[in-house]
Amino acid sequence: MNEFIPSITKTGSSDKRKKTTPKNEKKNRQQSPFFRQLGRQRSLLFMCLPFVVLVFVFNYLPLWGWLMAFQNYKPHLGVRHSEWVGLKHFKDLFSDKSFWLVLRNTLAMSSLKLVFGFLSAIILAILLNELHAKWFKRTVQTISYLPYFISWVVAANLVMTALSPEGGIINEVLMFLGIIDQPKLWLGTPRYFWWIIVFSDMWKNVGWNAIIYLSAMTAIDPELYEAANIDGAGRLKRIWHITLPGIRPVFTVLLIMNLGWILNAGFEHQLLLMNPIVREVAEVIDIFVLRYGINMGRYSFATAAGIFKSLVSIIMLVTADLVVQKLNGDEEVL
Amino acid sequence: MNFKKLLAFFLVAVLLVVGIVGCGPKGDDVDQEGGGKETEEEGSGEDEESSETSKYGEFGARPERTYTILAGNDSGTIDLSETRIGKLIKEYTGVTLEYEAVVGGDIESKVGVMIASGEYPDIIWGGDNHQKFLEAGAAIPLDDLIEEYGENTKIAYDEATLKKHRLEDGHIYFLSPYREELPNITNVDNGFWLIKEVVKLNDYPSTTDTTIDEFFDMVRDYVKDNPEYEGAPTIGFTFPAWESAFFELTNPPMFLMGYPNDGDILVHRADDPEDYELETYAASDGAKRYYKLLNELWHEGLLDKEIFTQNEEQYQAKLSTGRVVSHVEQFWQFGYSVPQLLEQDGKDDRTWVPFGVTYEDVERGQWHNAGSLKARDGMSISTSAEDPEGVFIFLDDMLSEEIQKLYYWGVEGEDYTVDDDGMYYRTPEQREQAKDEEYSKKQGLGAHWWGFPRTINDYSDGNAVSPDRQISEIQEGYSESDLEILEAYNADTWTDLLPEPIPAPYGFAWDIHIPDDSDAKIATEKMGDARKKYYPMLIMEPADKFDEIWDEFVAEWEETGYEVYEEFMLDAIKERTKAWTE
Amino acid sequence: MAKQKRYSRKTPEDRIFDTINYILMIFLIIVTLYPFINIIAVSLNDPMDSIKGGIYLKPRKFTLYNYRVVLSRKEIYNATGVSVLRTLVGTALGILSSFFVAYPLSRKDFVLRKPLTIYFLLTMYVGGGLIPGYFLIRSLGLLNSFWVYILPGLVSTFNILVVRSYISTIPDSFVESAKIDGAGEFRILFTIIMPLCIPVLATIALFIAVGQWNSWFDTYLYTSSKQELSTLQFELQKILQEATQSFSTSSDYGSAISSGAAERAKTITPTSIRATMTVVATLPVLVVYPFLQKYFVTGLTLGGVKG
Repeated sequence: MNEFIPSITKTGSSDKRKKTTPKNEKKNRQQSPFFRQLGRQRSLLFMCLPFVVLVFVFNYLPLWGWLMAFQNYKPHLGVRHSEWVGLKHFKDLFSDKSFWLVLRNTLAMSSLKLVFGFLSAIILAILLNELHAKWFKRTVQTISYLPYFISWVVAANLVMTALSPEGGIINEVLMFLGIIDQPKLWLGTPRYFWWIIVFSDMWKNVGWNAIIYLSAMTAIDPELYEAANIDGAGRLKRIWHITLPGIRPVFTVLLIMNLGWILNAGFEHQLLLMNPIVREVAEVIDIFVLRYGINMGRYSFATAAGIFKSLVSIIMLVTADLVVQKLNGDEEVL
Repeated sequence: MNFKKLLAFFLVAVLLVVGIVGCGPKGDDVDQEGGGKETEEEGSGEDEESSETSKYGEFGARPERTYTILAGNDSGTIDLSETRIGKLIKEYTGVTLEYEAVVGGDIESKVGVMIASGEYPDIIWGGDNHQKFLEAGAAIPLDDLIEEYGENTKIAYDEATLKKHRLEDGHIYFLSPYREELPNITNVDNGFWLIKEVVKLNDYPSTTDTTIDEFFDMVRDYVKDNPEYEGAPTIGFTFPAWESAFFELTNPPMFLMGYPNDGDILVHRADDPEDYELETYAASDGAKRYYKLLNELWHEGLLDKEIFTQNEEQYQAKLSTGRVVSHVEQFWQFGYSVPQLLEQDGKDDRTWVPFGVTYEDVERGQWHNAGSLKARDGMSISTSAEDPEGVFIFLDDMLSEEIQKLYYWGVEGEDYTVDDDGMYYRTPEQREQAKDEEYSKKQGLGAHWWGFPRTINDYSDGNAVSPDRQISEIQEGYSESDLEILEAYNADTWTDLLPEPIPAPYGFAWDIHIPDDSDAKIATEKMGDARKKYYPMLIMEPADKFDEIWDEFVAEWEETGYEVYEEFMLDAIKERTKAWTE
Repeated sequence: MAKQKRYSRKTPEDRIFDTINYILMIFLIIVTLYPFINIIAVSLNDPMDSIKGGIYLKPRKFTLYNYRVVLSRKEIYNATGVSVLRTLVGTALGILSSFFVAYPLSRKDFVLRKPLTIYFLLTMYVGGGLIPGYFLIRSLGLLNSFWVYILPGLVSTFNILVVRSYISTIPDSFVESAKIDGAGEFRILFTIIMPLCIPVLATIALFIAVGQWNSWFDTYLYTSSKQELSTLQFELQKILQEATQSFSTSSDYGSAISSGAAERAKTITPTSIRATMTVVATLPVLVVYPFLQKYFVTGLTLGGVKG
């Protein structure tokens, strides 16, 4: 059943090749197969060409800024007149012992965020999809994405109030349920910090992140559900065999993209919730770079860190792509 | 159906786009490019026709000019020219200011791109980032301008003051707005604060001679007898300790040992600056004693449990419940809102009295700041200014008595009243309306002019430079319970309660700029890291582990490179002392 | 709805599932609605009084002062117009760009599919930084131009890939039959692909629109000297900045720089302004949202079209 969509896709694409080939054959006889093919597909190329150019201008041209990482860049001297220092800033970065600490924190928090963020968004989308009352579904969906619009400054305050040992709601509830016997200092305990970040992030973004899956679910053919129903498949089975495969393409793409951001674990979020007690586990790369780079006018140091992050992203992407391709059979992902 | 709607939306949007391309920004763009400058040019064009001497006319009849300005850490977001006072100032100076807004607390980006592009507003003040402008050579020397046009400047900034502005090359590049040569006489800057109720219970103990142990004995006794206040636990002692206020935890040992606020160091002065010595104190015995004491207070339950987890908002909320018996911090952290809130709720007795607490063997605490100019940054004229004379004349005009009165006191008859002897005072209504920020914003009163060069001289008519230096005004600002306490101590103002501060010849050590991207700067960050890591542990871990953790801290401290910082500071302080006193 | 009814015969499993589902959803409503109610309460509470904390569901000392402070700024009205315009234009062009790129990249036979995908993908992970970016904008003449809001972020790889993955669920037979009818690629995109993609179109429209509506940093860096181009969020940031400026600290050691009159109390506080601006900035989004929401929450389905 879940093979339904991909199977059609495959036959479709092979059919097409046969039909479109003869049309332009004459014109491209003397070119290489690649250019012949491209020539036939020129309208596809024209379609995206303006944006290829735009991206080149706005995203690739400014990359000359990477030169700064190999200099002691001073804004008033510019890249042309700043002193070249080779790999000094990379060495500084990697030899700083706090760097490895913040790297660990970043990886830990972003992986946790990744796992829980994905899970929660998908679960919410599925649960919403399973709601019968239309008004209720729309209401829940509308309300659940509200926290997305609250800035972290405001949200962090709410989190801190909720976790306060003096009348904070979390302590009150846990004490009422008898799970703890006296208020805990949640934000003052290093081992809870990552989880506080993960759960507050989930709370703030789950509604927003679920939207994308909800839209993917609209593409699922309702007949599939009907057929499953006739076969006597229960709710969970239907979710497992129809809903989940239906959102697989978008899930895969999002997963790969997010793996590329593995070194972006948030920034403001940690900065606002951390305190001296949990610093050791709370500081992420971006905070480190802010403190030892940008705040000190060390543009070069910050750029070096940026390059490092980009490289890690690219490695992650390639690996993720390979792994996912392997798992998906020969179906291309990127 | 729906798709059609969507398509229609597209078409409309695309039409809009086309419309804008066709007639919008492109045309405007050209205007914009020259926008500010055109007006300037017009101004200077007119001037050239008139004779050289009266190029800028007389004060009060200046030609109209427009200048662009970047002002400070986070000011300059309202259009001052629209305010009542702004309009009056424009009448005097002819100048309209166009502000480069700084928002989100992010001035670094703004300064960064300005320097990289080499295009600056006419007037620049980068606040904490001003050194970046200076390093980039973005500011012009003001010496000649002061000489030629600085009629008011020379009065407001006398020779001795100007000397403190000179950079290594001997030139003056900015005028500092931090005119704190006169110490604050309204409020005590810093101290251990104890609620009035306890002060009265203990029959007004000395605010100068109380030792730290005696201080906490009072707190302990009170909390023992009054474990709760309005149904919530009483908090014996607290202080701000969040990221940006962590110095409230690191500074007290310095004061307890009898030193003035020099940030992270104790300076041992001598007659000859060459003989100065200094040291960081974070790992000293004096510091160890303080944190040991905090450790005891923590385990006794006297120290606020949330000390390390609360942020500024939660802290202020806590103070304004009246549950906090004592705290240590700078006045400005809480003094402008919390006492008023407590008084509104009729909790006058829960507001605090400053104590200049020290260790026993210390003769004199130096909690209250001595007066000194702070000379690390100020307003500059940029190299992009096409009309530096005109800009300087504007800045000089701002230092005229007429304008200084406008921004310190406001408009006569609206913000203050003149009595028969020509002395200024404010009626209760005027005092109230000055507190209303919505009013002061519309009026353009006070803070909004912060950053411009300013005077500290009293006016030629005998009035104090600002309301907070007019004794009658200060006392009007005190509440009844304040006056009751002051009377018991036989004092006029709060500052009488602490020993007279001793000025240092170099001002404040923390006022010295540590260059970005220097080893000393990196060391300060590392020093901060080490303290932020260990101090909370020292306080919260069981008492028997204290010494062990302390040793660990000292070991880590040794690796921070603090010697580099000490060395840098020693040189800088010597240099500054020589330059300022010669 | 029809589809639900058809299999609404309830098994015990269904009942358990639904019960748990409803409980979870109600819990979710509580935890996600509360912050907003709290913010509204704070925005309607006296700012000085709010310092004391303890405002939860309703204001303790009701006032409209905060809204007066924010809404009395006449600049925000023009800025709202600019925000609306940039949102409309940015969204329209953003959708077009996403589809114009996503469609070719979704075609498995497109020879440049892989290289172009990587080309676009990389933009998400590399960046030249603040200063090169500023130079670029300046040399393109985009400083103080409306287009600086639109062009730099016009192509979003994230949206492209989301759209592409949605298109990939459309059977190729659709495209095939159109080709046989002699339709060109543009016509296929507009008449076949896009109508089938309305749910994802609505989704990325929402993403782009919210991104446009909320952004202020581009205004700050590139157009701040041109008041006519100021945006709502930027004006709100300015008001917030004023609220925090009552006294500024100059140093790490917290020397006080009291500003002007010494007895200044705080009648405009960052907390209250922040709450108020959150409400002011979010309300328009909430008003527009239902119009988009219907497309992805109970939207058209492929199945329907296909049948």
